[in-house]
Amino acid sequence: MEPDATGTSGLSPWVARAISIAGFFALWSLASLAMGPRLCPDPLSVVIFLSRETVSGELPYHLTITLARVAAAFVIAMAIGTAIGLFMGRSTAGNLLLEPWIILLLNAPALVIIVLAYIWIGLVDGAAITAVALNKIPNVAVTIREGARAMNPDYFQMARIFRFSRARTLRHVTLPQLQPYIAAAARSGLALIWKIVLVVELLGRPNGVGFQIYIYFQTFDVRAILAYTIAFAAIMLAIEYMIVQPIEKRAYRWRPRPA
Amino acid sequence: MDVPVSQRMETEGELLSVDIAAKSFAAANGEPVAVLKDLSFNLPAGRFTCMIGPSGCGKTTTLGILLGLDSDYAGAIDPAFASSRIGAVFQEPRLLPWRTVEDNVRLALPDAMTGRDLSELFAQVGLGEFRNAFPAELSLGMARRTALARAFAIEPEILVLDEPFVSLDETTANRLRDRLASLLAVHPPTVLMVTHNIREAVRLADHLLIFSDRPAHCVEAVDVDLPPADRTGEPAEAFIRLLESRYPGLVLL
Repeated sequence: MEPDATGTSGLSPWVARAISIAGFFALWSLASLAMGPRLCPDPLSVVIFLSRETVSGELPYHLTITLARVAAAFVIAMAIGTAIGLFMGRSTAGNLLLEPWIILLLNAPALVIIVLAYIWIGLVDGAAITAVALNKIPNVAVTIREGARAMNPDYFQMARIFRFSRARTLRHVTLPQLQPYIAAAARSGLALIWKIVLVVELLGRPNGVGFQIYIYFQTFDVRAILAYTIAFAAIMLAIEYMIVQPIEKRAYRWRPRPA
Repeated sequence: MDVPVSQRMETEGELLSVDIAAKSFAAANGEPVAVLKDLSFNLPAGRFTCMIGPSGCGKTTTLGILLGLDSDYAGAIDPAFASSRIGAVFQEPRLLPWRTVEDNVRLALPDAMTGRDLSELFAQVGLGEFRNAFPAELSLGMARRTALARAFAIEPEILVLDEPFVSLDETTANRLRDRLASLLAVHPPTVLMVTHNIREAVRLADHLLIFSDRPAHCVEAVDVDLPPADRTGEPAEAFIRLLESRYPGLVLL
């Protein structure tokens, strides 16, 4: 939902966001002055590098590959995690059976899962995406389980009396009730997944933002590392403001607006 | 004045039998609490039957069993309850808040009726202009009318009403009772309504089932043989007074 920026301070959301981002660049410039251009290059030189890499096609290539891996892992983790969470929240036996697995996966270090996936599956994209999804599935499942437990039985009774099919119940009764939990899982999921995707790329893929950062780490090129990070963060911000938030707004349009 | 209380059930037409030997819930301390015991009655098909009795006596529990929501009981109910198209209206309208008024009604339609024109129905319940509203934008009376429209849209063979007019102001409740009566005139299903309001019961029902205190059983099945004109006013009041003297504590004014 849109924070109530207009009501309290008179700021429009986009002005508030611009101020916030400008503050970040100001702080960065100060850090650059203090630490020197080798350890912390100033924003301008990073932007110049960024545009050069964009024109050469290097940056878009690696960015696209990383984004594709993020998207694949995200869709898989959300679908499987939601199904498991729903099952655990609706069935006591299901919860008892699956809970130890979930706790195990929740606490397994991401690095262990990644390394084992590469060893068992091979140094392929399938292994990379599986490893990332496995890291995220338990978080999704635990969040959705809470949502499933909080669902209102009255709606399911109504659906039963009017003989809703399973598909109709899922689409019109179950998923709308889970929607806030799915949104929470998706938002934290996107952040976690892209962090892990970089590690996966660093460890076993010949391309992607993670691989590039690894290469530039070898040559101690902080400017390039920052450029790739900024480019990716900018895309994630765009996804948040242009995709995630509009979807949420639409999903919540049935809620009564405060007068 | 001849007060038309008769204790025979209507014999012509089909009867839906309900026979619940026992139904209990586990109390907080784990002890079973008997809610229904030897509850047995018949619903005449195509007629309007009202269940009345003290609050908390198990009427809503009985509805849950008849609606197939609760199978944890001893006894047998007519298989027609499982095979018939059932419409239900509850105290809480139970509309899906994330779907519009029209979608709430349409979602209940069986596949064979998908896409049918609902304009007339919405006009009948006075919701023509609110088809695209969300339930949060409706008053309680309007939400109940939506629930009523949903129950009628499926052309139910059995209609179950659980205190559908409670906590509405008397004017709204009366308008809604008239709407129900006119909807029923077009397409009369077998109706079973729970109410605490004996005037409402006498106004609408052909039969009354008088329930006892917990564990509930059916004390008596009473016909209401009053012509429509006598369903309100003095003749109805005389009938109600008679019921009250006959079943003290069970029929409350």
